[in-house]
Amino acid sequence: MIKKFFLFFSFLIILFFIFCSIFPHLITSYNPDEQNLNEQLAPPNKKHILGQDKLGRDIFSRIIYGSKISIYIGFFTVFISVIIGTIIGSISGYFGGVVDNLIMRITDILLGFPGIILAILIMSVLGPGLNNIIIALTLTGWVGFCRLVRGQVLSLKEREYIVAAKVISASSFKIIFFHILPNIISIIIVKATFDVAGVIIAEASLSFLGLGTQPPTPSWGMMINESKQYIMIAPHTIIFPGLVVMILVFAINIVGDYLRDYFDPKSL
Amino acid sequence: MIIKYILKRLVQVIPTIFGIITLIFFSIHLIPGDPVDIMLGENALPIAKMELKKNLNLDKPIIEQYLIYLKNIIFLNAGNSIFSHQPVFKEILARFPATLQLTILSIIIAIIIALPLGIISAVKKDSFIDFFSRILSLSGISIPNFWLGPMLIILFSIWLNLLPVSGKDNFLSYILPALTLGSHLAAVLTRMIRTSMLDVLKEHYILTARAKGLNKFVILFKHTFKNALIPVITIIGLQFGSLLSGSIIVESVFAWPGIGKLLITAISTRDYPLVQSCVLFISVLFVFVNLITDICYSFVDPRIKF
Repeated sequence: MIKKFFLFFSFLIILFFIFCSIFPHLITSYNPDEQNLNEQLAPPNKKHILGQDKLGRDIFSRIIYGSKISIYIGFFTVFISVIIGTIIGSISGYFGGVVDNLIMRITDILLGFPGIILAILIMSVLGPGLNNIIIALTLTGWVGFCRLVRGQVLSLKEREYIVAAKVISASSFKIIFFHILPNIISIIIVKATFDVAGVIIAEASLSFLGLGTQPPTPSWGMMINESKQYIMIAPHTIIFPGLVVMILVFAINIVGDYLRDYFDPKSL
Repeated sequence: MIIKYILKRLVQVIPTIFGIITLIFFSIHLIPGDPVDIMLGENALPIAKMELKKNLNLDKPIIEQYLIYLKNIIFLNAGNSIFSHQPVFKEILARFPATLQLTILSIIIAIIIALPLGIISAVKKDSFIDFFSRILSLSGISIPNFWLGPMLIILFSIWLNLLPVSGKDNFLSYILPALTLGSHLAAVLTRMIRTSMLDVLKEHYILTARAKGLNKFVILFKHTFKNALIPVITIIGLQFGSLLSGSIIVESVFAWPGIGKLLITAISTRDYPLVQSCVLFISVLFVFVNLITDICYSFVDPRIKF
């Protein structure tokens, strides 16, 4: 019962943020970039429910507009990673041999960089910016899907129905696309869900380090970065942006957990 | 047999490290524009630019640059920092102990939190405590380090005035950074211990032990826990990488003088030789920790065949 409630609530939260990212102006009437230098670092008040930041900008509307970056990068990066990872992973698993070996060595190398270190390296040379974040996080993101799909393809391709499809001389493309992929799509969806949460944290982390989005674009990680020197006098400038990251990521993880149990409790 | 296995794994690691070095070498050529201009600024003296170009071998053909880089890395000479003019490996090794201390302490804290929580959660499955610990571990996975750090500072340093805000002075200053860094591991471990305890509790030998009328605690700790520990060790090894990359953020939140802080400072001053070497050091360390985890795994569980 409590579980169902949590799940329902999580869905609502995710939908809310997706809505915010598309129609931010319907949620808040304040312009996120409007400065008010008389009211710098003002704590939450009647006019500005979450207070104002170092330039007197409304934190609530910056959070609402900031969802654009998180939602867009989260979903888009994972979408590209799924496509690239699935294509390369199924080629690797299905054909095996030299191609498989080569692809696996490449993934070994990319997995040799822990966490967001590779993304940090790429951002440091490419410079900050929206497209560069997507490039950096896709480069680290596709590897997981590639490995996952390859493993699944390897175990599925010896099954009788695949052998049967080969006997009636179906093309490799047809076998992969119509016979193998439909059977592993659920596992891909579960991983993709957790990865959206991971990418949202990664983007916020990069922006926190000053390597992600560039000011004045509102982004949750950068809002904390801009406010960290005011932690003593204006903690609200840090509390709220981070709280939203946590709430969104928490909601996505709950949905991911549910999907994992729903599809197959043992596979991941 | 085990020596053969270790050697085999060591050989497998070589192409990976070689690839990491290659990727890091070529990353500097992804810089849009002239790297020297970016490192020194457009207005630097031409003679300084020339000198840096020569020092970084950027005036040579790219293949030659690559071979020189490989040779230098093999002889542990990654050049000098552009700003401090110190050998970069010397700077990294000077900062490494701080990062290592932080990482190890965060593992200890994670274990202290996760062990009791995971065990109680498994034994009292579906109880209130179980529910509470699952929510707690889901939160631990969802809280970003760059936010948990400041929240702990606000709570313990500003409101309660118990612990220092940042820096690395005495034992007290270790607590908040290590707790922040360890939160994610604690969450992952709690889940892992719970699942793994539940798996072992289903085994026939536990049923046998119960049938023999053994003491509940003996069953729990001697028979169940010991066997449930195997996947836990692997997780700690595998999570070492995320601790290393997490330390970059934690160190920059708490002004902790480790490699992570060094890396971020190097990025902001565009000290690319130092950036490259920090990334190289962390990655190679990570690859070797994974290797050691694999080998330990085979020691702990004699059922694993090579």
